[in-house]
Amino acid sequence: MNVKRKALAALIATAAVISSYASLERPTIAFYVSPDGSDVNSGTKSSPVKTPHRAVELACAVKSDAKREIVFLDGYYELEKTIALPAESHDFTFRAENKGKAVLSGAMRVAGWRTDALDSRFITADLPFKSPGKLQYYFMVNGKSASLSVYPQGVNIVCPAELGEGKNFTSLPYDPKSFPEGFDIASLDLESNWVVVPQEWASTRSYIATNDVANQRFILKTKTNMAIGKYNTGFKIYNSRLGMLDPGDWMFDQRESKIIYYPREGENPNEIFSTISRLPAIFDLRNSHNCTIDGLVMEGCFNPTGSGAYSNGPMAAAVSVRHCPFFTVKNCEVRNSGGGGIYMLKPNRAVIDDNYIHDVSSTGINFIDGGEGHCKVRGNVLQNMHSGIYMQTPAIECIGNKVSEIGRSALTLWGRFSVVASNELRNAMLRSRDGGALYGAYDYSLVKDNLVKYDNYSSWPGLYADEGSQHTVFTGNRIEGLFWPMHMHQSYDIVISNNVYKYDGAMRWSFQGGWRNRFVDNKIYTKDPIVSDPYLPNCAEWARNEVYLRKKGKKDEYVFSKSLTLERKKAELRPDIIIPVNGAAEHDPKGPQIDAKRSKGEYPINWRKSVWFNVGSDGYPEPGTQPGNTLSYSHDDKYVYFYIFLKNPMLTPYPGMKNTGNVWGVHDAIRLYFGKTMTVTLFWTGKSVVEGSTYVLPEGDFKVRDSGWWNGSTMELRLPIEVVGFEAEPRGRSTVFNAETYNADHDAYRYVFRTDGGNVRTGHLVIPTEPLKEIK
Amino acid sequence: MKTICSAVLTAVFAFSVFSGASAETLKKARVRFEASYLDVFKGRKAKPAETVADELRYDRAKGVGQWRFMLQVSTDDRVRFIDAKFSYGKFISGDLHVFGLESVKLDADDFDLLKRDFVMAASKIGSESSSPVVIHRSSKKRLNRTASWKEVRNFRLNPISDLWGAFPSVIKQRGVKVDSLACTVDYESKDGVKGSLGKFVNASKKSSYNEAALHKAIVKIHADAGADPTKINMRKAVDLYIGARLKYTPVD
Repeated sequence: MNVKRKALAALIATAAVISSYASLERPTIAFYVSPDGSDVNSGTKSSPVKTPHRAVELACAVKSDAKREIVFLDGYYELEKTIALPAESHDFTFRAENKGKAVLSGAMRVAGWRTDALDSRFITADLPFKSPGKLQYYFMVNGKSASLSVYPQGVNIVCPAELGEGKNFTSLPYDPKSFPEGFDIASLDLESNWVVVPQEWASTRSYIATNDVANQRFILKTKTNMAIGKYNTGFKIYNSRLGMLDPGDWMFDQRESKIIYYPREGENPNEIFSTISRLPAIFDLRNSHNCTIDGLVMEGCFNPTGSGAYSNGPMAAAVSVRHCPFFTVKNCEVRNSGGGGIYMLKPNRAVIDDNYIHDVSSTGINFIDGGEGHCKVRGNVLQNMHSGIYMQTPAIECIGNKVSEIGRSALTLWGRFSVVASNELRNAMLRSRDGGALYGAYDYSLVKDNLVKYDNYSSWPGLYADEGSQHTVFTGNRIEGLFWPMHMHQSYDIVISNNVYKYDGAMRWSFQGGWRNRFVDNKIYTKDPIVSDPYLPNCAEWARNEVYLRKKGKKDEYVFSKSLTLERKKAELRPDIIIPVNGAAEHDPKGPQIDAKRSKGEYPINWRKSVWFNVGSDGYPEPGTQPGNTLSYSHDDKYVYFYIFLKNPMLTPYPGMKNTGNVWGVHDAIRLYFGKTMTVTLFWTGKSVVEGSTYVLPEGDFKVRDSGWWNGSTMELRLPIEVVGFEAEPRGRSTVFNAETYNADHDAYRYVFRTDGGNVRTGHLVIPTEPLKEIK
Repeated sequence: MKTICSAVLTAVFAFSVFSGASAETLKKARVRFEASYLDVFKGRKAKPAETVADELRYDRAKGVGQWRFMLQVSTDDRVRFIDAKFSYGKFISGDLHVFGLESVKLDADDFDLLKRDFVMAASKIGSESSSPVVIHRSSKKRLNRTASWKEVRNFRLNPISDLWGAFPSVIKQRGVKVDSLACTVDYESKDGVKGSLGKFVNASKKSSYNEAALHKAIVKIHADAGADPTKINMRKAVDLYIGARLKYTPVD
């Protein structure tokens, strides 16, 4: 057999295998839906049913393991019910026969417009269905979203609350001057109006229970996320006549159950096509396997406020998917909706590809609360929404998406082992605080070749890696138009290299609270020379960054200035630790016993203010608040007391990521060095080891108290003074000392005193001759 | 993928259980379908193929014999069945039975493909009711493997799942006794330290290791070989584990 014949034979053999496998494929049974169909039809293409619900019924009635397709013929579907599947459904596909030609609407047409009785600029119509409660409806006129009324439209209503009014979460003071002159504040419609109180990273939406006009306060129905007055930037009132300021604004009068609309120029009340949302979701799918939504247009859902991921109803999104492995949404458009776009609770190998999501009130694509992950989000376009892509799950491929005009973060990842690449993120953080175009905790991930570009000034970073991002590489990204292109918050072992930053003004980078980061080989296009970085100690290396300076008087023209390397300075020498005597100088056997049930404040001990474990083993400062371990100390006439606070891992504290926990590897041990030879090693398990001394630490003189990963843990220890090896000297009694913490996740040590080469016994504990009066 | 449109829909309907017992739910119909095939599985004990006599194995038995196989439809908990004839371990003929669909004739290539992708439970037709249900790994699953870097993301060991996936729990729902399915795992680090990670028994407390247990097991093996156990923290244990050779041995 010659070579050609062999190749042909091999090809035939391969084809046979492929074809025989194809013969094992299960068939697919299709049911057709058309707006012009009838639910008494059989569901064939020539005899389609009218509603997808009937098609699902027919499909479920087929008792076989064939795959099922619900095919939507072209047209506009005004759905009366959310589409659901029986639990444990398998292999369902919902698809448009022609991509983008089947529109599934959760809204209902509004008719009967008339002039508003109170204001002739407005028109009004009855809600065309019975309102199921206080909801955030979505209203559209001639295919265009109307703007829900909001007052004021610029600066918020001033809230004259003191900073952090203690435990006040409901009494919201207001400045009457924030309201229009002559406006009767008592006339506010408490049934319809609600307030939104933005505070740092959270906003609270609440109805007003009482309008206490005399005391100039609203008493809220819902507690604010933070104490009122904290992060106080005032508030706004939504869905009120006050906010009906411009054509295109609307509100829903809850008492009268009517819609009030301020028509845009040229809109004739008798001719407008208007719809208002009546469904919370188009799809509400649960516990189904291997399902697909393909090519559909979905719109017109309301935001079912208060519906969480674990509530009975669908999540607040056009596509609500819970516990559905192998779920695919592709080629769809989600638009004009009061909730979000596509929400998945605990996603498992989901694929969200090539969708267009725009003009939704909440999040575009949302992976919630962990799950197996291994999902793909590729080639989607998202515009005009509160939050773009939000992924709280591991092992994601988020590639080639375009996200723009976003109220908060464009792309958020609370996950790890992910690739975030080649995304284009424009104009994020338009309305909210605390976030960035790229935001979240990026653990063991690659963030590469993304473009972040803002047209207008933003006070928030382009890339904001938050609490505990670690071991991630940010490279090849281009961040333009942001004075603060990058903020690494408590991030570790991050490499930021070969990125381009461009801003026509002074710039800042920040590695707040992080350590062992590398900021190298980037290109910086800026206005002023860079001479220092306040966060330099947080970088293991700040080097070889090419700085280009803008030419004077020239816009967008830069010349190479220098390749800049900034050197860190070694940690400063800490003064000796002076140990104060506790309240009862004489040892009281019933007094300061070590007791793991007591908090620090409950001890009858005057703890000296804590010192940080904040020097690396190389002698350089590592000033991050993580690991955040501190040491407090005191003494009486018999013992020295140590109280060690261990900030537990905030390394991966979010669902979807592995919390390695406080036992297995985050803070393995604390070691105390006394005198020339003695060391005491304290383990998480409560075990202790004394070396270099014959002293046996009695059980009960060392306790560990674990308060969980967020609140941290403590170790409490007492040692007899004579064991510690204090020597008399003019200022009192003194002993050589250092304390060390070991963090296994980072494989790194930190000390209280700067180490001197290999010598860690570099500081002193001193018990002064006279009590320290200044210490409480 | 074959899409059955209006032209053939009637034919499919005619075959499917759609006709007939119209009041019967999908679930009940499925149970009825499965019941007609489960008689040779139900109530029997599952044993790994590696632990049973050759005469019970379709791929090793001498002479001609007939076996019934149960396997998953996809990655979920639905099952389908194969009735097949073998001669001296060689596939002769077979039929694939899927709920609600017409049986499909299989050839040896078909069977090989299914064998590659699915764990199968096999029961010899005509065997005594005390005979075990024999669990065959999918042919792409090896008994030896090297722990890879990918496992850092999920540092734990579940040998039952590694060998047989979710299949034991799927057939348990059908009355097969799978609780005692078991295997041992031997470990050899890159630098040649050998030891056993233990015996893993399905439906027992020790069916898998979470990260703490796996850490502990690795520490023990290396401590037995002379290493200082206090120096093997989680990070070090991961370093030792990645690249180590793991040998799975199904046991009775």
